[in-house]
Amino acid sequence: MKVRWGILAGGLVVVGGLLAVLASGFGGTTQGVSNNLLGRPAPPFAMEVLGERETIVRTAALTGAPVVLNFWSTWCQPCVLEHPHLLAAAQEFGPRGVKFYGVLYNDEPQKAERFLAEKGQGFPVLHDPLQRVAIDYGVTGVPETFVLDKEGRIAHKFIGPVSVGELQAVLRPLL
Amino acid sequence: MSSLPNPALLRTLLLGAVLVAALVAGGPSVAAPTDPPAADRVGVASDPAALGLAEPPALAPPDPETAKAEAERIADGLRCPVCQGLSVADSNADAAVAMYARIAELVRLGYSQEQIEDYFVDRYGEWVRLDPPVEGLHWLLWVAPALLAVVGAAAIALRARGQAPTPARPPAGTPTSGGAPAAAASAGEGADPADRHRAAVLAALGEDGR
Amino acid sequence: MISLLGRAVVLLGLAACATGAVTGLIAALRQSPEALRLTRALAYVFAGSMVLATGLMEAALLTHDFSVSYVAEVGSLSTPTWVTVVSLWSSLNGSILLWGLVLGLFVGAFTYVTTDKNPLQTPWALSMALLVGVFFTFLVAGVANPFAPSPEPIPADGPGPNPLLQNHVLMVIHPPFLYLGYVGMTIPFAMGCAALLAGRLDAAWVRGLRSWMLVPWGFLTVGIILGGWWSYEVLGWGGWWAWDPVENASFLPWLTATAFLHSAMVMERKEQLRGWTLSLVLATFLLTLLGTFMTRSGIFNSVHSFTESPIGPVFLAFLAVALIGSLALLAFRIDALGPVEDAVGGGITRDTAFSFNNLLFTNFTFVVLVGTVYPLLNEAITGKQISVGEPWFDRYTAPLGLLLVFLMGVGPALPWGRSASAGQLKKIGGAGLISLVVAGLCVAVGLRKVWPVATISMAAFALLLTLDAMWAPAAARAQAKGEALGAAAWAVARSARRRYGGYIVHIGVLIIAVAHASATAWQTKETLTLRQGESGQFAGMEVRYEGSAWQEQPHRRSLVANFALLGPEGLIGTVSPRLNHYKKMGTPIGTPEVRTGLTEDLYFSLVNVDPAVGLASVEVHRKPLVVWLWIGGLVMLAGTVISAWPAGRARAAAGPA
Repeated sequence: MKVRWGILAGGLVVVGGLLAVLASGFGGTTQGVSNNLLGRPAPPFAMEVLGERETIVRTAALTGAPVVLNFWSTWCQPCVLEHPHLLAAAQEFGPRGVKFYGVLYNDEPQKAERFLAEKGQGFPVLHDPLQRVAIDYGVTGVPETFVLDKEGRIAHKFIGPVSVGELQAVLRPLL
Repeated sequence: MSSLPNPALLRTLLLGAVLVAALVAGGPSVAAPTDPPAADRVGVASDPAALGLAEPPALAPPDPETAKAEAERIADGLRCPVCQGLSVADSNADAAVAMYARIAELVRLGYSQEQIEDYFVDRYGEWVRLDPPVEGLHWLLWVAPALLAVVGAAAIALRARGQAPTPARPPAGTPTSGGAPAAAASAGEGADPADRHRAAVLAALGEDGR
Repeated sequence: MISLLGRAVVLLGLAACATGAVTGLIAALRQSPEALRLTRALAYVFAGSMVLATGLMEAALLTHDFSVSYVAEVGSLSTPTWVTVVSLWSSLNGSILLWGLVLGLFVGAFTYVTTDKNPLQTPWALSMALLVGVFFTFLVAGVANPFAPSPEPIPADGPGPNPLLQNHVLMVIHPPFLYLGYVGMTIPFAMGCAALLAGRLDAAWVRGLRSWMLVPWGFLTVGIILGGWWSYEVLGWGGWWAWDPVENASFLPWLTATAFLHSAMVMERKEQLRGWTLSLVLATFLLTLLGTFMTRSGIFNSVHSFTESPIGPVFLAFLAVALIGSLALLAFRIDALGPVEDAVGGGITRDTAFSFNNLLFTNFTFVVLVGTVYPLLNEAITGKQISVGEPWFDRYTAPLGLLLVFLMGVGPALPWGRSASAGQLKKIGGAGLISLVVAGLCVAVGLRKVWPVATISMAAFALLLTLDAMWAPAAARAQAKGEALGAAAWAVARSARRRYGGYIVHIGVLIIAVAHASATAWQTKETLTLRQGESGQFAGMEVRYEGSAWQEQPHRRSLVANFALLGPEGLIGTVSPRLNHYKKMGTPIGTPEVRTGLTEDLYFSLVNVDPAVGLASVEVHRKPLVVWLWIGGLVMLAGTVISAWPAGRARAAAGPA
């Protein structure tokens, strides 16, 4: 029998490559987004504090201490799950100078206030009605948490819910 | 999740939409039903330094018409981060609306397409470009289709060599219609248009009748 | 109860399939008529069990039997009955069952139609088709078992299917068409493998192969167009095609199948391109598998895909076996078909046109495949995620499409096997001149964009030559036989039905090409944010916001915003786009309202409504010629039906075996 070895070899190279690429797709994130802001100065912002219309938090006032900036909303389940972790972290690191802020993402303030009244509030939550700050930080969904160092540079970014342990690991070296 | 509509949320979004429209139009702020000063006080100031961009705008601020077209062109090439493969220009998801507003704002300030794309790539990664730049591994993506076309065309040319058609050769492989196609073929070059047409008919019938 | 019964029926189908694959093999190797008879019977048992299993699942859905896990997953007491019926394909496990059903129907029909005229290939083909069946029934019986019992406690109600799928009636017909197209490609694959295994590819088998490809090809065509229509009517962004991985997945096998339908003509006529044509048959089926893998594994994120599921790895394994098996089959058996002359004549002939047609389709397939898979490759190598989207795809597919339209005109105008005569070349030149005039007219009336004008001009060229190819034989016959022109045209079209069907399909494609190019290039869009009673200007018309109202349905609440459209002469009409709030989802899903016209569509998509303050924000699009996309689809369907309609007994008998 005459065998077309050329077809077989060439085909196997192509097919093998294709299968390897497809197999590599397993376990990867389906819509991951990288962020090149790490290590660079955090984009500046000025946002209203929820429930205190007159208080505005500006980035200029934040340097000198590490900052934890948590983008969240009441409609996101992982945010609800990570809430106690953030409270615990704020309790541990708040007295040591770390500033914690929540940023409400695509949600209504009243609902957030109700949520905080029910589940406890350990730090101020800021309002970002047009998602302008979220865009500046490259947020694609909630929750996402940014850690800023004392010089106001982005030291770390968490995508998805954070735990106390993860926050401890990132915050301790920054103190 | 709540199944109930959420008037306050809608109001917030709507206020957002109004403000975005105002920003895009570059005109005075549209009077919104809730009190507007909030918009001036919060968010990010519009001076370049405060936008978190390292460089100043590369261009002079364009006129509004050009700005709109330019913003749309840039939005066409950027991916809406919460959608499935749609561009910022196509999608009307909240995040896309917010991104479009930022694009329009940066265009109005005189930032170039490159600067604006870099701004979004910094925040969302290369992933945000719908059209990967020609560099590194991406060369493969750009060159491979053209390469295949060239190789394929060469293969066809090579195979056809020495197979040049003979004008008088009857079409091969029409066993059913017997001599008809041959007759048709020879008649095909004939001077009489009626013969030629008849030949065409017979050829058509011969082909399909098999 | 249904759980148990369903499982039993599926297992029966699996057993029939597996046994049939083996008896088919025996029938092929031993030339045993008994084994072949048994294989046929088992094929019918397989088909029957798939029909029965689907019937049981529908019964479970309609009776809201939440003890069946699939019903608990997608069923709901509050959804309308039609939604409940179509829930069968709203989620992964049910859609695999639908796959099994369609495969069963195709295998049953194939078994019924295939006579014993081809004793060499038939048992191989049945065996291969049943082998594919084994895999899918295995999925239905195992990892994707929709009949699995619900874990205790059995829920009293379910969440209902994905709201995007219950939002429009098109969802009832779009997936079944796509499945009929996708799954139907199994039969040509089995026939192609059979030809290779049996070492015999005769005229009758080639004809059968072409018919069995044409039918699923027609379904796939309609399925793809319906998918675009659904996207346009439901998703609210005003588009129909976004080069999304799942759209690409359905397009890839369509492209290779189309290439096959053309190269099969060369093969039938000249016994050339056999290896190539069979490769296209196998590739088409393999691409349907690849496409299914893309949509089911969750490695590509897309609107249409089901979420990550355990069947991904199983499917990949099957894909690997099928790919490598097909390659080996081609490499080892291609020469068993007899001396293969893969060369095609050169010169300005129809043969050359067909060669380039196949090159272009192959290249098109390659572009779509590379663009779809490249992000994965890039991530595997550099670890970075990137996107390959519309701008990239358009850059390559637009010129390829334009060249294909050119060939669509030139091909039928050239003779087989010999160089075109001066008269034929003059005809082509004339059409070329007219198309240049058309381009000039476009520019003269102010249409200045290069690609769409080129598309219109090229389409005019191809249309002229296509009409001529349809017209000339009729006129010749009328003259030769002295018949009336109408009668002659009818007689010619009837006797050359396959060819005329093909031309009609070509005309449908031309309509779609022009509509797509124009609608994409000359659309305008504006977002109007209006207070109640306030008007905004769009496209020379006033859009006035009249107010909004809630509409209650058991499974959803809809916020309907009413707008009046006012022209210079007064009221043109009203539109009521909606935002639907489903029980299951936090964010509302819009239902745009489309005012369809022959020359342009007005498309209203609601962005936001706030009844409390009386504000609404609506996106208004004006898109020329959109309706012709769907009309072109109908024309393609009509042409396919004309071409594929089985020949009458008498004619078939008269033809050579």
